[in-house]
Amino acid sequence: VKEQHAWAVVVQNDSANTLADVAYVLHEVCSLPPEHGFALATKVHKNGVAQLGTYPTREEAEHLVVEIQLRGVRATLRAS
Amino acid sequence: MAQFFHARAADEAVAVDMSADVARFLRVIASDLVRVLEGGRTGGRHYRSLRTGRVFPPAYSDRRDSRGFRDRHGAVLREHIAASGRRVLAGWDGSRTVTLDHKVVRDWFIVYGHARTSMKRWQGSWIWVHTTAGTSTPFGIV
Repeated sequence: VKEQHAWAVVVQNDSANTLADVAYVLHEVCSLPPEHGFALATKVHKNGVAQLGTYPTREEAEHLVVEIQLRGVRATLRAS
Repeated sequence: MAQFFHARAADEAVAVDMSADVARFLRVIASDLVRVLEGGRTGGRHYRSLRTGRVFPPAYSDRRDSRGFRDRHGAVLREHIAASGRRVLAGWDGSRTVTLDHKVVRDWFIVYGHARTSMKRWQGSWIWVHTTAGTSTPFGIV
């Protein structure tokens, strides 16, 4: 069955990880260039959340959330 | 005595230098994290076991969806972290200096990143790691 909507992955701020930690994780998991990782991590730090991207299937989005959570950073997904 | 943890880039690796107490605590933290992830318990009074729900925060706003996420991925995630912990312990004897290649850095990040969030209430305060870039980041718990 084809899914009707995409799935958004959102990175959440927390009280444990520093901006550098989140940037490093995004760089490693998503292969983001360090400056993009820092920009996104800064957005997480300032706004509490930042959307990492949207993915066509839940499995794909969950896989990314698993990889991020594996490194101790909180990520969630939602239908978009 | 001042406690410290210094990490600096060294060719294709990371060279770490730390105080003896930090080394000892990091060993204990990795050992305890592995033990509780494997279903064992630590002897500490603040900390006994580690539920999957505490290791991995809700992935969805809906509680049932989050439970499903943990059912699908929780066991694999726990084992993945425990395996990283075992590699950290196997590759480092607790000495004050250690050189980590990038794969090992990933294991350290996974182990101590999780120790920091999952075991936060276990111990009281933080040690702060001063990197050569001049920034500080909480890395372990003392």
